[in-house]
Amino acid sequence: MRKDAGGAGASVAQGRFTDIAFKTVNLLLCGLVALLLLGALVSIVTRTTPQALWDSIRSDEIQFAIRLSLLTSVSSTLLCLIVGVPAAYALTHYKFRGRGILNIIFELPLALPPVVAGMALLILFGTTGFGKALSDAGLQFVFTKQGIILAQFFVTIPFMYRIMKTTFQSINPRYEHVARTLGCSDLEVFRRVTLPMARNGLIAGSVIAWCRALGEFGAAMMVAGATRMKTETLPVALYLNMTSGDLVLAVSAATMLIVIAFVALLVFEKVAGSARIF
Amino acid sequence: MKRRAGLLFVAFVCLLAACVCLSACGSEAEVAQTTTSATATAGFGEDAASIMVYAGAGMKKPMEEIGLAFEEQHGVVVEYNFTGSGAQLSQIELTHQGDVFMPGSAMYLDTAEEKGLVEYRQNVAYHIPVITVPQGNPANITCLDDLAKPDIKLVWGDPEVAAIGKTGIGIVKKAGIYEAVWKNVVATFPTMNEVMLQISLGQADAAINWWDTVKFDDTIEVIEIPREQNDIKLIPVGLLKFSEHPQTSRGFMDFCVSEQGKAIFEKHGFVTYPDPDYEG
Repeated sequence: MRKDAGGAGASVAQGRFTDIAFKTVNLLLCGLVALLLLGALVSIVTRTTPQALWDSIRSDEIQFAIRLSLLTSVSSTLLCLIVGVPAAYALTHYKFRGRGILNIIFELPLALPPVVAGMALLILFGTTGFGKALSDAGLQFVFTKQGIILAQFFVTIPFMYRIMKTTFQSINPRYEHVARTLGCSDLEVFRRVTLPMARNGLIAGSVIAWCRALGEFGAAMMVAGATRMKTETLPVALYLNMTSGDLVLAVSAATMLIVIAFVALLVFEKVAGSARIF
Repeated sequence: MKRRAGLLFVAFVCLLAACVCLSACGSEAEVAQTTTSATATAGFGEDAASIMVYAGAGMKKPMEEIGLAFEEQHGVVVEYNFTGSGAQLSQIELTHQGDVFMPGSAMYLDTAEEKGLVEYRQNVAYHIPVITVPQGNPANITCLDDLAKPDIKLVWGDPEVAAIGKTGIGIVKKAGIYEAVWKNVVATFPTMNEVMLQISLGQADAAINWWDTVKFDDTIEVIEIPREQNDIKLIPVGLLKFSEHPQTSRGFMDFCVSEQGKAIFEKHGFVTYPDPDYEG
């Protein structure tokens, strides 16, 4: 008996020891990764003097890029919400043939290199009858700001769709069923039960889609061009100025992207810390 | 069901591990092979297994072929970095690494030389600007002045990033039609590759681009710019000062301008230096 108790004590002590080792390794790796990420970001910001950085952030080119980036990314995120939420709802609530294929199609752009997406959009909206009809109707996408929004939408819709799909799937259908037995129509159930319960998913989806849209470069450049002061978003400004050797302007564009992303994720953590992304 | 999924997963992991092992063995064997052949020929009195070359994106095809031929003859692997010339200049300045720099226009090598980064240089070929139009020439462009006609849609290389963008602006300025031409530019792009693609897809009526990049493209038609209006550039190659294998790198540069190297450039549509038609 006594021996057994002693054995148990030893194994508990051993267990504690492995617990501490486990914790140390986890914390150490966590710290290392944080150091790498932070180090890389800080080295960008400290590459120039604060005065030069401030001046170039206030330059016309960077101010234009900030405004255009915010305008296009907010527009494409709203579009994503308008389209992505009903699509995810349809694919989780209705049973129909081809649902599996549709699911894959929605998530396909996730695995496509953005340049491929850009080229596909350029061909569809540029030279086909569909594209010609749209441009005759006054909806011009090639080489315009609308083209940036289109490319961002294309690249970010899978994120919105995926997040909303898992969110809807995690809602217990019983709530919706009960609401229906209490006399709600499908639309009322959606508005009064499903949507409020999907709040965190909506926030998570919007923030992720928005961050992705903000950083979108490859697809947008193919469709809209990288024309200075016309279709020059922050990532484009960063790329153009880095390639032309104008490091201060490049750094200020990068800094603005980091600041915007940081603020967005901070808000995200505060508002929807528990929302599931995948 | 669960067991089957588990089995599948194990099989997948095994496959992955096998792939990694195979590729690792393969590359080891390759390295061993090249080092033995390097010591066997060692034509440059250096123990170099490889050299690193910065080459403009437009020189990718001929340079890759030249690299293979050089490796075959001298047992030295040529590793390339193909991006825009301006970006490469920044990389060279920031890292002080690499052996040879071959930008799309002599201007970049001049800048590198001014900054004391280059020791030895050679001229390889000419970069000749031409007017490119989509197949069938929908806007009926026949000469430089046509680019200034109203309602023409042009795409252009970014004037500060792409060598062709800056060169093109110089050409239309010399012709006195810059204002009208610039009004027709609907979009600009960082490299001549994107400009070429837009013309190839018929998204714009015309663009100025390097002749060699579009020579063998069936979807693009070319209108030559007369010599007196044109601004022909030289493609140079320079030895970087901090090269760890200067003799081998010099050997590589000389190989680029040798008869064999020139033949490869000509095969890919370049006019090699010197040429009486483009001299002066």
